[in-house]
Amino acid sequence: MEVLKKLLENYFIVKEKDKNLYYEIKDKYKSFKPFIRDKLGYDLFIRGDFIKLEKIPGRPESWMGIDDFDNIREYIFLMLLLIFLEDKNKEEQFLLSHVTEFIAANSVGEKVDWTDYQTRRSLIKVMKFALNQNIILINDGEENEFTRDTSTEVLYESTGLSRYMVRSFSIDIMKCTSYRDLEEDYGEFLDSGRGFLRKNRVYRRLLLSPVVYNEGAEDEDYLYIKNYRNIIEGDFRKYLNWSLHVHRNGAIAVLAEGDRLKGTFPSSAGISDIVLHLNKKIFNAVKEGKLNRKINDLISMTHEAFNEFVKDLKKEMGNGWSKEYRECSLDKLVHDILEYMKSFCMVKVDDNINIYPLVGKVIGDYPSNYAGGGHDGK
Amino acid sequence: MKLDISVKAQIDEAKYLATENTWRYRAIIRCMYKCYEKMKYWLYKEEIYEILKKYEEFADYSEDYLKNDLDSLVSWKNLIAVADTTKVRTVDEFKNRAFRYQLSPYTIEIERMLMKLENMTVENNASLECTLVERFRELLERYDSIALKEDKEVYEWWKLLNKSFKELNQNYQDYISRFYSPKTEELMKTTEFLMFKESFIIYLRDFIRGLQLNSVLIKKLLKDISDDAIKKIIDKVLAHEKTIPNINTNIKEDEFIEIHQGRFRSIKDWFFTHKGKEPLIEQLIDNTNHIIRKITRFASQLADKRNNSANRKEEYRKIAKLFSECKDMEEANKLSSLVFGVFNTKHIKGDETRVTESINSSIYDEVPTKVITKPRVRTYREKIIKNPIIDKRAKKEERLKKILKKRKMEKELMERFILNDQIDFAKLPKLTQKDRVVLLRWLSKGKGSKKGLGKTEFGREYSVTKYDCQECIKIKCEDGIFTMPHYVIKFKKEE
Repeated sequence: MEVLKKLLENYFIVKEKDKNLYYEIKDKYKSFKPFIRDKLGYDLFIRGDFIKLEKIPGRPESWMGIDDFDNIREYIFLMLLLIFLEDKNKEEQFLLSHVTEFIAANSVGEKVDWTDYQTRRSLIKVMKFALNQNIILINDGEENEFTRDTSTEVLYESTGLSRYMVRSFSIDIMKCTSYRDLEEDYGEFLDSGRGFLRKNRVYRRLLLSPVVYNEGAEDEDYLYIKNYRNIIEGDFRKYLNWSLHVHRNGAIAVLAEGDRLKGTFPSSAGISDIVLHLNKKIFNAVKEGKLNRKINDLISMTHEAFNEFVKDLKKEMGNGWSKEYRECSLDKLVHDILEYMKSFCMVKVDDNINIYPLVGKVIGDYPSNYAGGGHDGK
Repeated sequence: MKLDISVKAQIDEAKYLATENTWRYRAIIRCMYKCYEKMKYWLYKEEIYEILKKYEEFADYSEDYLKNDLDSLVSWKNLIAVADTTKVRTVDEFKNRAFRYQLSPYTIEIERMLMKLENMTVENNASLECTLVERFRELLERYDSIALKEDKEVYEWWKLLNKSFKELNQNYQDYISRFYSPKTEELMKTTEFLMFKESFIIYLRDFIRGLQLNSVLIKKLLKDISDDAIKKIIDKVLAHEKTIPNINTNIKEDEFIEIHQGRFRSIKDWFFTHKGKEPLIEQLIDNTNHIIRKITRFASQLADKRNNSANRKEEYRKIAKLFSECKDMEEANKLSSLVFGVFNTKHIKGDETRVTESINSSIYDEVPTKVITKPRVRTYREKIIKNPIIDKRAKKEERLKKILKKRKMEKELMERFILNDQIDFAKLPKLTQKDRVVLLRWLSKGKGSKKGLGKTEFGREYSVTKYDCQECIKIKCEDGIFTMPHYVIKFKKEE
């Protein structure tokens, strides 16, 4: 189980870096192979120098990107870096300036201007990401300097892993016009009809996402969950020791306190506390009938109303928040709350703020002896 | 080939090439060779010294050193030393008699070879031209007419035939061996190699075709030449060789004939199976075919790789373009998840057990997991719950009284059993359960201690003795009869 979790948490498991884990996975693969192959429709790549579980989502979600990136330019640079590395063999060395030259000469979209500070910062982020993912290694130098000085040189070497970053497509990617075309591509592995596809999609969604919502009577994924929930529950219990809660409005894989996965709510982050408080406020408001649920259990608020709601929350609970959020502007507070909640499928933002029922799953409050909190009635 | 002395002997003349002092020896020889080229064959020690001194490396070099070095070279037969024939007058002069030095013919040949080696990497004229085979065939075809010609013409023909065979043999060896070198393999794996792969294969195929075509004819021609006929040719060659004026070489006729016959034999071996061994020409064809196969394989792998990576690169570029067309980061993140997969999962941590198993209850209808968040302010301390000390003296006293009262009762009770400062278990009256428990406690306490001594709850010391009679005693109790060995508890006299 722990081994499988490691696969969920790591993109590449590089033998040189973690020999024990590499061999442990190799040894134990058999024990969870049915889950990976049959249920999820994934393939585990076991190569001489690394292992990778390609975690293609059942449904792409806006939080599923590269966390460190916050500009589309960074994705473009990453792709260009991959093209650049395509011609580099394992252990072949190159300089940062080679990369910058290549990117500038092969730019996609807007022109690349290294005199622009933000552009340089983007490149550094991409290089750091590549280092973290073991696509490249640093031999000499340090790229941070590059933000200040474009003549900074860093010596890297390729690990050859770059070739395994992008998955292979079974459709002709050249004909795609947006990510939606790729969504239909489940890989060559899945070709045995609709049922198979749906099973894999459901398992993938439950495995990767905090919640799978019921999208109505026509939602075939949710129907599948309802119909096969005992089997699904058994699988998640057996292979991951997670419990599955299937509600009317959403199915959630619930992790126990001891689970040490990175992306969990709640967490020790300051924003997690605030969202816990917000959840409680929403939950109570629902109970008291102050907030109206629609039939599908969604709560819709205008941006203004949501801002007011957060403002009140800050008044009631704010004095125990982390310094950053005690002191920041309301705009930043609202922005960070929404970003965090989006990443846990608790809200969707369009013209309105749409609050999803996952909010009601975990709520939080200060200890009862803390005077700063707004305790019910106390 | 025979392994006779001349093949096995050490070559003294080559010794100077690999010693600690080689740098000096070679410099000396090279300088002398340069002079030799200028037709200055004899050199005095002083002259050599003068030349060497021009070089930085020889700044510390003395004439004595040079003398030693020259002596060594003479001993290895690289130099021929000839003493000055002029008469000397003193012993010293005799000892320091001047020598003139000359390079030995072997050394000249070695030096030539060295110069060739030094420049070898640049030159590279090994090839697999089928014209080489053709020329050889043409020469061989002239055999019929040549046999009857003058010695001189036969001689020239023979020389040409040998030369052309040598060329053919050497060329192919060099060429093929180069193909099996790691460097070439490395080269064949590069994409540049694809550029001339086609012409390369055509070249090799041409060669094979030429070889096969010509070899059939050559075989036929060679078959027709009998050993006797060759003997005659060689005799003619020898006859002509003899007419060439040569000062210091006597031609050993037998040896000459043997060598040349051997040469012809090796020509034949090249084309015919000899002693069950595949003729070299077959091996050559095999080798060449092998090379072609290898090239084709490498080329297809290369092309594959190149096409793949070309496609891959195109794909990456296309993906980059898709990214650039995303309207915001959220869309880009979705695309990323489809291209790279997901890097981290997101999940809810909470109470695993639900109140209901119903799939029809809304999340809002159930009890949420409640999490306590610690305030993130410095002034917050977790509260300590105070427990004031409650006065329990009255209780304690009461309890004490109770205990003391109980003890008193027990004491009075027990003292009933003590007769003459001892309790004889055999003489006890009917016992209650309670009394028995106390008595047995005293007994076991006394027995358990090392000295057989005990102390009652009331402070009286006692000892336990057991009567040696075998029979057990029977004590009447309210709840039956208790059987035990005969013990006596003896108390110390109360003061």
